[in-house]
Parts: sequence; C-alpha cells; structure tokens
Amino acid sequence: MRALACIFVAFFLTISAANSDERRPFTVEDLVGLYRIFDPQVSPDGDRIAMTVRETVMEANRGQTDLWLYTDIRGRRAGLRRLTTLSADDRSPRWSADGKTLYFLSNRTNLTQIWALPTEGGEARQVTDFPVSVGSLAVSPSGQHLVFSAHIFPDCADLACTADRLKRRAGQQESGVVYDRLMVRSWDVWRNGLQSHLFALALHDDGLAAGAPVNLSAPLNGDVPAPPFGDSESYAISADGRFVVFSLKVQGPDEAWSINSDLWRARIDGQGDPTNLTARNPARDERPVLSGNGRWLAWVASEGATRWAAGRHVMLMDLRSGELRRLGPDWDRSPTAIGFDANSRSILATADHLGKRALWRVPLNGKSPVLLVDDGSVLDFDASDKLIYFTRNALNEPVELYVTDKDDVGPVQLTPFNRALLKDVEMGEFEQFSFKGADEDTVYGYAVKPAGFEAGQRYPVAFIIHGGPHGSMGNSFHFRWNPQTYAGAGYGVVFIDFHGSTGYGQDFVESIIGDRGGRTLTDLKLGLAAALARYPWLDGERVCALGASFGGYMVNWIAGAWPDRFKCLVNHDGIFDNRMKYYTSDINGYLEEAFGGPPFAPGADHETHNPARLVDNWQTPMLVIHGGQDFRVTDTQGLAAFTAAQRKGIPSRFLYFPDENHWVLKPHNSVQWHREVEAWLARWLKDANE
Amino acid sequence: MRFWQGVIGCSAAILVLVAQAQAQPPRPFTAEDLVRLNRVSDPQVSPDGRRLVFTMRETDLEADKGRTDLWLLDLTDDDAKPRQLTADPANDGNPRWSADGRAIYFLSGRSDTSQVWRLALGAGEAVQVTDLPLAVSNLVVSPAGDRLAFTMEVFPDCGDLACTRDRLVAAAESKVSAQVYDKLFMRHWDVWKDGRRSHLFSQALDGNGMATGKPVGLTRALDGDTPSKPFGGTEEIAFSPDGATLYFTLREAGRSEAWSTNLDIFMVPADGSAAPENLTDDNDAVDTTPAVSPDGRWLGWLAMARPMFEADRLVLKLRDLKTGETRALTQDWDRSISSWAFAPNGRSVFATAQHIGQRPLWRIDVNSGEVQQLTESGQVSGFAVTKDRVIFARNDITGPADLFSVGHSGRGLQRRTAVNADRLSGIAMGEHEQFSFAGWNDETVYGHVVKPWNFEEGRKYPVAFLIHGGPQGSFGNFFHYRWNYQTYAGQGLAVVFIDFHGSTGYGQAFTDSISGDWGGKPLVDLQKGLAAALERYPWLDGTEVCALGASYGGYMINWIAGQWPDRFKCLVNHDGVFDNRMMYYTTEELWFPEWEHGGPYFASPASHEKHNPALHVENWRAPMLVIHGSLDYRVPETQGIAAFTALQRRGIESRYVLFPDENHWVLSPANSVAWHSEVNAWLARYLGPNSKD
Repeated sequence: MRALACIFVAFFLTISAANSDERRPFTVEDLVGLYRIFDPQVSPDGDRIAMTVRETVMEANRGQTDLWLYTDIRGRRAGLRRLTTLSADDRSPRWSADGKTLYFLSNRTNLTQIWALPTEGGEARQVTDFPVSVGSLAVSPSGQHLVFSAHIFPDCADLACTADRLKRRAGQQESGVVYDRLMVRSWDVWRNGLQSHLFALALHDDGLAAGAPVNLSAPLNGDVPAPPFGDSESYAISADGRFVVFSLKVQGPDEAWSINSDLWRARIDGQGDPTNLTARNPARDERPVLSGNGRWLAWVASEGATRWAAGRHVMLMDLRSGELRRLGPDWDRSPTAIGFDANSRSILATADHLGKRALWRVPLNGKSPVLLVDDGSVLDFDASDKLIYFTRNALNEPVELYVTDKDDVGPVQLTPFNRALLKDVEMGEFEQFSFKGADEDTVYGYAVKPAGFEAGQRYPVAFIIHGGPHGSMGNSFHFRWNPQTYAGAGYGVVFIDFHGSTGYGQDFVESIIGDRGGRTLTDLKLGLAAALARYPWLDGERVCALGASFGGYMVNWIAGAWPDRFKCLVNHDGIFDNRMKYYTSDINGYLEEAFGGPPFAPGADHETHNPARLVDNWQTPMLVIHGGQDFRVTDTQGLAAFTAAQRKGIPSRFLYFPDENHWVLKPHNSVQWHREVEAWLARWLKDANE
Repeated sequence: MRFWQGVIGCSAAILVLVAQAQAQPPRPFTAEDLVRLNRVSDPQVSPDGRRLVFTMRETDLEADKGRTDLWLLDLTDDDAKPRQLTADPANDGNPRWSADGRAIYFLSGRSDTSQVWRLALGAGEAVQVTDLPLAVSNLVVSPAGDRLAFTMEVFPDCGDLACTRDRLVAAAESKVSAQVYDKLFMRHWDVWKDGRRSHLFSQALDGNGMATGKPVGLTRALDGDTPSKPFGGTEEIAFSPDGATLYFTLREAGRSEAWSTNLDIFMVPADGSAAPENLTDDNDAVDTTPAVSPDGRWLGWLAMARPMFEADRLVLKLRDLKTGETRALTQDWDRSISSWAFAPNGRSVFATAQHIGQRPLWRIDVNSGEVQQLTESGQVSGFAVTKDRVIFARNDITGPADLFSVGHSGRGLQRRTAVNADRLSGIAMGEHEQFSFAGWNDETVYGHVVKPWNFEEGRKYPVAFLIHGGPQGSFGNFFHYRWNYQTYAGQGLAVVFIDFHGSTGYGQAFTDSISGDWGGKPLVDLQKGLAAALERYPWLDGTEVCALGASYGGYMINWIAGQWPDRFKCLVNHDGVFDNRMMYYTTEELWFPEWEHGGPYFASPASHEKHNPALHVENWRAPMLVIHGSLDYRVPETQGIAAFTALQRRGIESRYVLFPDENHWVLSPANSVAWHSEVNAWLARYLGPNSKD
C-alpha cells in the first residue's frame, strides 16, 4: 500500500508532539471553533476529493462553508487546497463527468444558485440565475444534465410565479396563514405552501445551462428531498444519464403520521409521469443509489406502515429483470447511509454498531457483510475504484477526512483541519463498558475521565441521556452533546445506550415500544451503578443527569420516578406531557407506535409513562432549556416543566433561546448554553460541596 | 316588547335619522366597517368643568394601525361639536388637565419614544415636557399643579434611566439570544419578561408647567409593577388633592407572583422623601383603583375578599384618612364595580358595574351606600364628573361609543357626539332583544338574539351561536371590536348568545357557580338557552346553527365537540383551551386555573381532568375552524395546534388559521378583516343556501 504510506509521510511525520505540561482542558469555545468536514466527493479519475468545510465566524455568529480539494492522492504532492474563500456559503461540490469542473451551490448572489468552478484554474462561473434558491444538487454521470431541487408553489407554472407570490405575501398587511391539513409546521418552519421539487437542467457542451429547467416531480404531491434534513441523497441519476430515481412521500391527509415514502423513476427529460417503483411497500423507501454499471438500484427501506421504530435494510433491484432482493437478511444492523462501491459488486453502508457508527461492505452476492471501519463514527463516504474516503470522528477526535483500502489497511487520516486548534488541548480518556441491564440483557455505556485526571481523586459526574430514544450516544464527537466539554470542566462523564438504542439489533430497539419509561429507566439505574462500581474515580454522591429531547423526557421522568438520586437535572427540549406532545408535535406517528395509538384511541396509553403525572414527586433542582423554534418538542413543554418546578418551590432555572430550534446551532448561543449548563452543574456538584 | 323598545334607546334614533337622510338602500355592516370606526375614550373634564378633552382613535388602514389624537368638547354649549386638538401622525393620548385648566398634558410618540407634552389652550402647538431615555406611560397630574407622575419600564438594579436604556441596546445587539429565568413569570400576556419592572416616578414642574430636575423613582424599594400588568393603567395611580401624596396599586412579586392576586394599595410622598407604605396588607386579595375625595378626607379603592380569585366581587372601600377607619361602602350591593370616581363635592361616587347584560352608570351615596342607576341600556366605558353632570362614553349592540351627558340624578340625558355618523351612514344594523329562560337547575339565565340586517318576517335564518370568554364575563348589550354581533347579522345570520352560569352582572353567586364546573352548568345553560331561543323566535333555523367562541368560549367549543357533538353544523374555536393539564402548566397567571380547578394540577389532577376537552376527542365529529395567535401566552397556541391535530387525525373537516403576530386578541385592522373573512367563509360553507350539505 504505497499510496497510503505516502499520505502517512505527508502529514503524520510533521506533527510535533504536544508537550503534556502545557495542555489545557477542552472548552465550548474550542468546540464551536472546530472545522467540520462533510460531503466528500471523489473525482471521476479517483485522484481528487472535493469536500465542504465549515469554519466558524464568531463575529458573524455563523458557520461559513467553503469548498476544499484534496489532490493527487496517489502522488507525492498530495495535499489540501482551499477552492473558495468568499464569506458566502459554498457547498455541495459535484464533479462534472469529465472531472474538469466542480459544480457547487453558493449564495454569493444572495439566492443560492448553481456555480461551476474549473478545476484547472480560474474563478467560478454562475450557471443558474433562478428567482428562487436551489436546495440540493447532483450531476449526471453522462455529463448532460444537472439535477437539483428547489422550493416552489406546486400550482406555479414557472419559478418566477413562486418568487412573485413570496414577494407579494411579504408585502401584505394581514398575517393570517390558513391550513386545511397537517402538517402546519415542520421542524422549525411554519408550512407556507412551498414544496421542494426536483428539476433537471440540460447542459451545453461548455458546461453551462441550456434552456429552462424541467420539473421532474411536478405530478407528485410531495417534497424531494424530504424535509427537514434531506439533501441530494434523496435522488440518484442513472449511469447513462437517462433517468432519475428519487424518494418522495406523497403528502396526503396522513402526512404527519405516515412513513410511506416511495421511490419514483422519472425520465431526465421530464417526458411522462414518474413511476412508483416501491408501491408495494407501505413503509420507508429512501436513499436510492444506482450502480456504476447501470444494472442495480439499491435503497434503504423499512417494513410496516406504522412501524416508526422499524429497522432499515438495503433493498436491491435488478434494473434488467425488475427482480427485488433484500441484502443481508441476517444482518441485524440498520443502515444510515449507503453507496455503491466503484465495481458495482457491493454496497458500502454505515450503521450504528455497539456504540460506534461503523462502515460496512455488503456484498451483492449474498455473502455476509464485512466491517471495514469499526472505530469511532463514520459520517459520509465516497469510493474510488481502489479506495474508500470517509469522514470520521471519535469521542476524542473531531471530524477529519480518512481513507481506507478496501481490504485491511487503514484507516489513515488525510486532513489535519483541527490539529492546530487542538494541539494544546487534553481530551478526557474514555472507555466503553457493559453490564447486565433490564431483562438481564447486556447493555453498553461509556465513561469519560475528566481532563487532568489524577488517580486517587474522585470526580463529580455528568450523567448524559441521549435522545431519540432510538439513537445512540457512543464513540463520536458531537457538536451539541459533547462529553469532552464536561470532561474539560472537570467532570467524569457516563452515558448509557439503554434499551431502545440503535446499534444492538432490532429487538433491542423495539423492546421499549409501550415501555418508554420502563426498561430505559432500569438500564440507567443499573448502568450508573455499574459505572460507579467499576470506576472508583466517579463520585456517586455528586451526580447530575442531563438530556435533550427523549433525554429531556427521561430527565422529567426521573424527576418524578427516581427523584432522590441526582443533585441536579438538566432538561433540554424535553417532553413534559405525553398527551400534548402528541397533539402539538410536527410529527406524531412515532408516538402512536410508542403508546399504542393516538391518545383518543381505545387501548392507547400515553399516561402510564407520562412525566406530567408524577410532578407531585418532584424535588430535584432542574435547569430547563428550550428553543422557541422547536416544533418537534414545542417550547410549551419546557415552560410546563419550569412552571411545575417553580410551583413546587424547587430550585430551577429556565433558559430560553427564542431563535433556536430543537438544537442550539448559533455559535454564541452554543457558548451561552454550555456556560449556563456548566454553571448549573457547578452550583450543585462543586459549589455546594466546597 | 317593552324591553325591546328600551334597548333601542337613544343611539338607534340617530341611525334612523341617518338612514332617512340617505336615498340609497341600506347596506349590511361588515368587518371593514368595524375596523374603520372611530373609538372615543378617556374623557377628562377641565378643573372648571367647562371643557372636556378625550382621546379618539382613527384607523390608518395604510399603516394598518390605529392613530389616536386629542379632541376637545365645549360643555357649556349643548350644540358644540368636538374639535380636534392634535393631528400629529404619532399617537397622542392620555390627556390630563393642568391644575389651572389652561393646558393639557398628554403622552405622545412624536419624539420617537412616548414622552410628556403640554398643549396650552389658546394659540400654539404642544411643547415637549420630558425628554427621558425611556418611554413614559400612565401620566397623571397633581391637582396642586406642581408635579407629574408617570411610569417607566426600568431594570430595578439600574441606578439611572440611561442604564436601562444602555442595557436594552446591548441586549438588542448581543449575538447571544438567551433569556434566563429563575422564577415565574417567564412571560405575561404577549411579552417575554426581560427583567424590567414598571416603576412609578414623579417629576417636578416649574412655574411655567415645564419639567424641572430629574424624575424621582418612587417604587424602587418595591418588587413589583405599577400599574399592574398586563392591563393596569392610570386608574391605579392617584394624587391626593394637595398633590403631596401618591396612591398606587402594586403586587409584591416575590416568588409567588404567578399565583398571587394580592394587589395592594400603597401610599408614598410624591417627592419620594419616604418609602412607600402598604395600606392594605391585611387583605391578601385584590386591592386596586385608589382615589382620594376632593376634600382629602376619604381614600377609596376597590377590593376583593378572596385571594387567588380574580373574578371576585369588587367592593368599594372607603378609609377615613383622619381616623383610619375603613368601611366597605358597597358590601351589600351584589354588583362588582368596574370603574369609579368621586363627585366634586365628595358626597357621592359614580361607578360603572355590569348588570344583567348592560353596564350602566351608577351613583352611590358616600354616607349611606345607597345606589342609584343613572343609565339604562348599553355599556358605559368611561366617564368624567362635573359638579352637576356626568359625561360618559357609551356603546350598545347597535352602535359604537359616543359621548353622552347626564345629570347627577340621572335626568337630562343628552347625546354629545356622533363621531361615526358618516361611517355608519346607510348601514342597517340588526335589531336585538334580550330574553331569559330557565337554565341550569331552573335558575333564570339571560341571553340575546340579534336579527339579520335584512330581516324579513316569515323567513328563517341560520344562526351564529356565540359563546363568551372569561368565563367570568358577559356577552350583552355591547358594541365589541372583536366579537361584534353585527358582523354576523351583516352576513344575513341571526345571532344568539347566552350569559351562562359564571357570567358577570347577575350577582356574585351566579359568577361563582362556574368554578370547578367549567363543563357542567354552562353547557346546560347553552343547551337550554339555544332551545329557548329557537322556541321563542321562529325565524331562527334550528337546523342551521354554528357555534363560535374564544378563550373560555373556545374551551367550550372544544368541550361541545366532545359532549354535544351532533348539534352544530360547524364550530369556530379561537384561542381556545384544548387540554386543561397543559393549560395549567403553560399559561402565565396560575391563580386562574388553580382557583377554577381547585389547586395546582399536581395537587388535584382529577379536578383539572374532570372537564377536560382533550379526554373526549373520540366523540368529535363536527367540522371546526381553529384560529390561534402565536403571541397568545394566556392560552398558548399549542392548544390550537392540538385541537387541529385532533381534528385532522380523526379525519374531521377542519381548518387552522394562524396569526403569527397576534396575541389572545386579533388587533391589527388588516388581520381583523382577514379573521372575519375566514370565519364568515367557514360559516357560509356550512350554513345557508350555499352550504356543503
């Protein structure tokens, strides 16, 4: 593996070992200042990686994204080059078929438009000048089309109509907005009638736009990509460039509680209506990928029209015969992202796996899936004919670009974006452990030592409870719930992947359906006890519990169901009342699954595990935090928890971010969030004991 | 039909005249008419009793807001018409006479923030009296002419006004948006609390009536707001006749502000030379609206008896400032006083109080407590007293407020203004009638019907059945700017509304009877009241009825959806309570649900759940229009979203209308028009010839 050796030489030998005496703890200022790398895109010749890099501009209180290029992978001049520098956001780099142009999205002209950057020198040229913004982008492998998404009013015949209507609305005096069906809000926006549609735009030989875009999803009532998080993984272009497959959920009256998305096939020239490829599956069909040899369509699917917690699996369709197959039927992991390997013989997939997010290869020939990377968390990936490039982080390392050989060499880190920022920083050491949890099942958790750990000392504990609940908090580097910020503040950190967590098999995930506050709480109790028994440096007398979303639900549940254990609680965007959570959340189907139906349905039980029912037991000091734009768990849930604590005379504080959604995203707000949380922990874990 | 004739009364006479003067056929009243009407308020009599200044709000549709100006009325000439005193595009309001009667102090935003201005009567424009770093509110003028008092929103820990201003500027510029709360309230009515309190200040005046020296903070020693929030005004601040003392209302906040109704009357030297003294510490219920008799002998104020009950009867208390002896003047009068004032001779007080669907003007003898009703029909919304007459603003179902005058004995009623004569020209209002019936437990309950504007004998009309909020409130003989019966009558609908058990104006026991029984007696009254109306008025089409309500009325709509699901063709729920539990935990004034449902939710969950609409969604089937304002922190918008979600999830025809910039009320003119057009469209969809069925 000479290529990899070269890379190694290029970077690793130049690192000067930091002097441990000078090292300082990790802080939230470090956290928000780190570079974030995503969306690596391998060039057609396999020799260059384009990627989007976000850096933080504190003065502007935002992240700014730019394009970077990792060049000459196999040569001796391997290196990084920054391609764009404007304060606008440049993102979503996509290679032209000939590898000479990088198409990308930029809002440098205010609206986000498609731009083209020649990779052999010269500045970017604007490809589109639409009156509406472009949302996501893909380039046809044949080089003849761009495919992009844009938000439009579905009844508008052209893009100008949408722009005009938005302008007219902004100028009107009355503010009333009318809804005839759910959803009225989604994540952090009030619906306004816009829908994201998929368009194809033909390219001239010079790589610039030829004519007007063609709306490929117009006949369908739905968004491509799916809000709020979808991007270009929602669609794929065939190798010959003749058709597009995209995922779309038809927005019927059941949109808010339905998970039935489908894959649709449309001609790239827009002729004819899209055809539904997955009409037989009433559940999720998403993330289509098309093989380079033109034969296979693969995607991620789930089963069961109402099974929100169902595991996902990879489906494979032979485009010649139409034959359908489920890949790795015995593979009890739920893929989060997939892509074809360059040789079209296997699927690469990421999936949660025992407290990590691993990268797997799933052969099309039915052989067992192979673990390629099982250390830390793999985020995005792309493959050339010989190598797999991916972004990865770990509990003690922020995201960087890595490469691995397809068999057994690597991974090797390629980029050093954050190395200089962290050269003086000491991360807390971590260890995974397991214990017998609820039902005697093996349950995993992590313990992180405080920065500056000294043997023989005992440290107060931040006990973090992840959200979801079908998620995992493990060996990853998170930009909101980062254990290192607590370790840096002098706390031991413990977190448990309780029943319901992902990465331990589907039975484990579904074991909490109808038991939301049951096995989960048992695991937390047993897990904390196990950690205290195993790690004598944890001071079990000084523990605060923290969580967001479901973690916040659990904090509210703990307040009533385990009220005498913690010195303090931190509840971020947590559910206080199941009933009104159901009736006010932007999506509510998963609660029907969790509690046996809508609250009004016979047999449904939203009350047994309802934190609001146990307020009379509350006694633990609680910091309640909520974002005013959180429409997943509305801010009234946080207001209610604080009102309950105050009316009970319990020491409590409410921290409100009017401009944040379910997550705290603005850098200055993130700093403030951590300061408040750390002050709350210090008040109950440190100050009170000194 | 005797009552019928009485109700028509004086304002209808004007309409008849106007209608006769117009050759064109009459037209119906619309929401566009409603928002255009001029609104008179805050009448203030000059010290010599010869002139009246008042505020009038005109609607600037272009700017989508109301614009207030000062107007003057010569009381010595019965034929005089009001004269406009100010015309600046900024809002001019809160007029108060100078002690010598030669000038009017008022508040105006013409210098960007609200400041005190002084308009000398005679030639010349107003001059600016204060130029403070903060906006000024709630202006009162010392009868001695030496001092003003007003309020400003300050950070209590700030040493001066500039500190508050600078901190606000810094907060606006900060990149951190976080707001931190260590106690309730987090928000109130339609604002998130930012730590400021409304403090009372006094400002010395020089010989020319201009400000001299700095304003003196009078309430810095107290933890609370003067006037009370969110609705308190100048009626909570009063000078003694010699100008030496200020009396004011304040609730000491502490940690219990959100569940305490313990407003108290404080006194403080107007020059700030001593700390405020609490005069009503012995009463843990509401004490508010202080005033001192012109001879300086009596301090009067309105008081409730039961802590935490905001709808208790307001009784006028009088304290002899010489002896300290206090008596409850109206203890034996089973009406709750809304507003009051001493007569110039101090021997009587004038008051308004709701009374069987009206809000008349009353005179109360200071010695005997004897009560005399001075006006019959309609709602008296403000008044000022001269030595022999009372000038008052009055509205009723057939028209908006105008100024009237009546003698102290109730004789000699005169209309003094017709500020909307041109706007109402050619409009036919629906006729109305009050009726009564045997309601819950066969107790007498009152209601009203309003005919459609184009009523024809022998025809039947679909019905808008309106349910009032509160629930301790009343839909009566009032002209309302949000729930105006005539907008429905103008759509060709008949209107019926019932003052169910819990309503005000029928004695305190009637008001009390709803607490703990939100979905009980009121629903029976509504059921019996609708039946009684249908029986009495054959022109009502009982098969074509939609029910509408806001706030508690919206609660009742949600309750009806589950408890009386087959009666109405459609429902309209504005800012209504869907779930009592989260209403308790997310509304701001906790004393209200605690009183109504028997304690905090966690202490008495069963009583909160007993009449909870959220528990009966399985019965819902009537089509519902749900409307909510995002700035509604009384009934948070999640209650509206929840009702719509319930409807949609059950597959019931429904519509949600969001007003992102409105609070518990829809206030902007354009939004009011939009609100009415949505509601009217919803009613039209289910009622009458073009309905869906």
